[in-house]
This record gives sequence, C-alpha cells and structure tokens, in this order.
Amino acid sequence: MNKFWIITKRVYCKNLKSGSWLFLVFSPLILVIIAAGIIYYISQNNQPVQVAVVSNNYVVTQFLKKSSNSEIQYENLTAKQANKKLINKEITGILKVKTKPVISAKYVELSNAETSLAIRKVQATLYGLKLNQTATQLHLTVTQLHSLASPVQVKKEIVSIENGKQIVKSNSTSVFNYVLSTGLTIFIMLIITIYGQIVAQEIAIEKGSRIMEILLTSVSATTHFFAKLTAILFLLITQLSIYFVIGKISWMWLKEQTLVKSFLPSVNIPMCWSTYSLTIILFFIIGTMTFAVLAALLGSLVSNQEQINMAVMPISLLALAGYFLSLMALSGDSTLVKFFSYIPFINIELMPVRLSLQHTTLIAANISLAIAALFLTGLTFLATKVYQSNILVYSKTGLIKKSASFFVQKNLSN
Amino acid sequence: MLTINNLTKTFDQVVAVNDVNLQVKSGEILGLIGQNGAGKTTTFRMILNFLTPDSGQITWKNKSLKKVNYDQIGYLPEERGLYPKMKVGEQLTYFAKLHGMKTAEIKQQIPKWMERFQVKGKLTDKVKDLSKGNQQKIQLIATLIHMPKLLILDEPFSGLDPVNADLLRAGILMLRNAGSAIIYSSHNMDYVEKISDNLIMLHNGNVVLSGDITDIRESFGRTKLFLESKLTSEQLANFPGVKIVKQHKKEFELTLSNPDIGKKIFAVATEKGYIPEFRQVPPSLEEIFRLKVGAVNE
Repeated sequence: MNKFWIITKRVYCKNLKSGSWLFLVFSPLILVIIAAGIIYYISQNNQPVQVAVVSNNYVVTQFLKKSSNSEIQYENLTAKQANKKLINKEITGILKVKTKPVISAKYVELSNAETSLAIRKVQATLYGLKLNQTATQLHLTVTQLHSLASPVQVKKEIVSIENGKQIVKSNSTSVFNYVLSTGLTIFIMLIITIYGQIVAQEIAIEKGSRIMEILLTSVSATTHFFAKLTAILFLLITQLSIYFVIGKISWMWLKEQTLVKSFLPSVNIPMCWSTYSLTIILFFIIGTMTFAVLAALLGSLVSNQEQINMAVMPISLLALAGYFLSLMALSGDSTLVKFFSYIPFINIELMPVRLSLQHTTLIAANISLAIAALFLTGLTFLATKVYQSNILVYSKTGLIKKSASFFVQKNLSN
Repeated sequence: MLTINNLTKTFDQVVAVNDVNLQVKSGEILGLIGQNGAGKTTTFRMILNFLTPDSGQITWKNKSLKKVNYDQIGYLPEERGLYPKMKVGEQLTYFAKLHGMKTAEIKQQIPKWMERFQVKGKLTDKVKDLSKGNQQKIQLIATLIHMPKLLILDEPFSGLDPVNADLLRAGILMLRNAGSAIIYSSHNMDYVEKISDNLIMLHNGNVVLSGDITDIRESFGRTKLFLESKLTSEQLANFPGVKIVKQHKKEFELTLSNPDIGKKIFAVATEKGYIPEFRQVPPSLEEIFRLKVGAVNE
C-alpha cells in the first residue's frame, strides 16, 4: 500500500468510529424514526372528541347527533348529566345551544382533555342547521338553498415548466417536494458544517501537536493534503451508501403500509429516482468537498487547536448564508434566490433546494453544478498552495494575513 | 554523506542561518550546539525541505535532498507529537508504514524496540495513558524503527532522566554502528561530548566552532588543572599564571593562563612527596561554549 492510501485509510477508519461522524450519519435517521413514531402513535390513538349537547330544542339535538362522525361524537344530555360527566372526565366538553332569538352556542372544554374540538367544525355544523331553519322560514326550495349557499369554486393547479411546457403537478407532489426541500436545507447545512469541522480539526490537531512535522518527513504536503480529502470523500460516500441501503430496506416495508399506499399514487415518484436525484447527490458530493477543501485551507493556517473555532468561522457563515437563502427559496423564487443559486459556496446549498421544489430546470441546475465543479477545482489548487506554504508555519500573525502571505513568501517546497 | 554548502536563511530582516557549511558521513555523529535561536532548528528544517534556503546547497549522497526517498530519513522534532487517542502499536505501525516498512517486518521489530527502550506499557494502551517519559520513548521508537540512513534529532535528550537518556544514547550509537549519518542538537554538553564525533557550534546563525571534539578542546590548551595536595588555596592563588582558584572539598580547580604553568605547580606540589590527584585538561565543552558565546556577545 503506498503512503497516500496509508494516510487515507487511517483518516477514514479513525473518523468512521468518531462520535461526530456517527452523529452526523445517524441523527437524521433517528429524527425520522422519532417523527414517524409520533405520527404513528397519534394516528393509532386518534379517539373522537366526546361532546355533550345541552339544548331544549329537539331538532337541534337530533341534527347534531346525526352529524356525529369519526372526529366528533355528539351525545344529548341534560345540563346536570353533562356536568357530572365532565367532572368525571368522561366527555371532552359541553356544547350549550340556544335557538332563540337566533341559533347560538357556548362550548366548554376540559383544559387537559386528550383531544380538542376544532370549533370551526361545530360552527359549520350549526351553520348548516341555521341555513336550513332560515330556508324554511323564507319558504326556499332545496335547489334555491343550494344555489345560495354553495361557495365559489377556485381550483388550484401546481405546474412546473419542463422543456418549455407546463406540467401539472399534484398537490401531494408539491407537499412532498416542500417536505423534501425543508429536509434537504437542514441536512446540507449540517453535512457541510460537520465535514468542514472534521477536516479543519484533523489538520489543526496534527499541526498544533507537531505530528505534522513527523508526517512531512515521510510524505509530501501535497500527498498528505489529498489523502485527507480522499478519506473525507470516502466518508461521504459511505454515509450516502448507508442511507441508500437503509432507504431501500425501509422502502420495502413502507410501501406496504396503508398510509403510504394511499399517499403514493398522488406523488410523482419517478422524479425521486431520476436525473434530479443524481444531480442532487452530485451537489452533495461537490458541495461537501468544496467546504472540506476550504476547511483544509483554514486548518493549515492555525498555529494551535485553540484557533480552530475562529478558523472555521467562514465555513459556518457561508453555510448559514446558504441556509437562509434556502429558507427564502422555500417561500418563493425571488431574483436574489435565483442569483445566488449560481454563486459558489451558496449554490451547493441553494440549487438542490430549488430543484427539489421544481422552481428551476435540470439544465439550470447542471449549469450551477458545472460552476461548482470548476470552482472546486480552482479552490483545490489554491488550497494546495496555501497548505504547502503554511502547514509548518507557526506564527502569531492573524489568519487573514497568514493566508495572504503565501503569495509573497513560499517557504515550504513541495 | 550529508553535505551542506554555504547555507543561508533569513526571515524578514533577521539572519537565522548564515553561510553554514557542514558534512556528516555515514557512521558519524555530528552534534549541533548553540543557544536558543542560534539557527539549529532552522538548519534542520532546511535539511528536511520544510524551509527553502535563501542560498546554498544541501545534498545527500551527492543528490539534492528534494529527490531523496523519504524512507531514508528519520526526524525527531523538538516539540514531540503523537496521536494521544491512538494505541501504541497502531501508532508505531502507522509511522513505520509511512517510512516504507512492511507489516510483517514492523510486527517483528516493534517488540524488540519496546524492549530496547524498556517501555512500560502495552501495545494496546492508548498513548495518552502512558507516562510522559514512556510517551517520549514511543516517539523515539517511531523515529528510529525504520533504521534511517539519515537521522535528525532536535534536542533528543530534553525531558529524559539519566537512565532513559543512556537508553537513547545506546540507540543512537546502534544506528551509527549500522552506518547511519546522524545529526542532532542538544543543550546538554555532557551528552554532546560523550556521543558526538564532530561538533558545530552556532551563534546567531554563524558557525563559531567546528571540527572533531577532541581537537577543538585541545586547541584551547590544557589550561584546567584539578589538584589535590597539601598546597593551600592562598598559595595556589598567589602562584604566577593562576587566574582562578575554585575549591571543591579537598580538590582545587585552577584556571591557568598558560598550560606550561602546570609543570611548575606539579613540581611545587610534589616537593613533599605523594599527591592523590593532578589532572591537567583542556576546558570543557561547556566552558568553551560560554567562552565563545561571551566573546561574540562582547
């Protein structure tokens, strides 16, 4: 095994067992499992709201009883019976309905009830009753009543532009895309920040503890630099592979679930497994590597481990800028969002979100991807030079001054 | 053979190393002495290609060091560094592999070196769990295990107790006998004198002394006299040509202006018969060091 691979293997194996990497890999999975568990628990324990109806009007009590459904169960009781049941917490609340001069109601609910009544649903039910009553008073026919009461229909369609044509997307697809994009926004920021931190820390520890001097008597600074980045790339690929395998296994179980089965037909699934997802994965890889290279550059500038938090500050700031612009993208595709989705560092967070929201075309995303790849190449070249000239320089000079110093003084030869 | 010709390095306006020339042959040990900031570490860093000289050449076996296989070099930096959370065995294997050793050979060599340096700890122990002295021994093993042909040690004895310093000395001598060219720096003149074949003294980046240690000392003349006789301190101090008299219990340490004075003192001291001690030697390296540094400072 040559020295490049010896270093790559060590960095890879060391981080594979490190707490920060394991946290990065498994925290999103744990979050998904917890969220799924909560949703499952709620769906399993969704008991109807028990409402006692207290009214002297027989028509009202019968009308409400008939409108009971899986969400609300109405029960006709006297005021005394209702109060007793409420004290015993056998019901959620008491609905007192008056019919004179007009239909009005008062609802009393337990503050610590397991379920809560959506008051608008009671309002809608009573509104129907009131409408019927008024129609009778005005001697209106059923047709006249329907004509009067039916709301204006507004149909919403979500479209995306593909190859110059409008493609209608289902509302479920839009919801799915929104959820996916929100997840992506948080996940990309998490991944670039933590990988950046891993790289910068690796280098700062070796430099600060003088291990670097021993390492550089056995390999060149360039070999060392690229070996570390290769290890980080392998870690990222391992992480994505873990998600792929877990996703594949979970999907086999998930697709048989009733909830997913009902949701599936309305979601544009081929979109998930097409060039879109490949483009997003490439953004992931290029993005993480861009921040890793920047972290290596910044890590090489520090003199000791204490300076590392200051050194990685630009990474956090850039990642945050991308994160906030991605949040902006979730609420609409503004000119600012469009502009920054081609700007290096920001585009690798922003463009995948816009793509998954279908706010942009695949061609535009690929142009941004090409910009990111070109920028990564240039940044790597620059970082290699800075790394070579600074990795063994220990001075009290500020980080910015030091990063610029390699242009005028190249001490370390390759 | 390591050859350095007219090596110069400046940082901003400060001359760190000025026109240094030296040679270290295979099977030879060169000691580099000097005050802090004399240019020792800068010289090492230029040999190791960490710093680019302003002028001068460094060659190893007549080839530029830039083209030399790194596996031939062993380096112990002044500030030691190991991976604290890595196990001893893994750490030694990692550094040995980086110096081109094969796994089977490493497995065979590690126990031998652990034994040679009497390391108290297991290969499965994490480095941070070892005592400071044992950590230093692990660092030394990592530097020496691949039997480098060119060994550079920056202050190797610092922090070692006398017993461990002797173990290191034995390790260095073993490598010299195996044909390695060794260059090291030290503040401990006693060790420098004991193990170096040649010596270079640097002061403010300039070579103020160089050559064979015995020759250097002899060149200053045998002006130190250690005497145990019936002569009193007053009698010795009044002797013409005696500059300084120091008393260590029964023994007197005299500094003479001229080695020939020794003969006259010997004649007077032995007038009344047997004396237990009369030893006339050149000044010690430490005295020469103080003398040279003092002279340059003046």
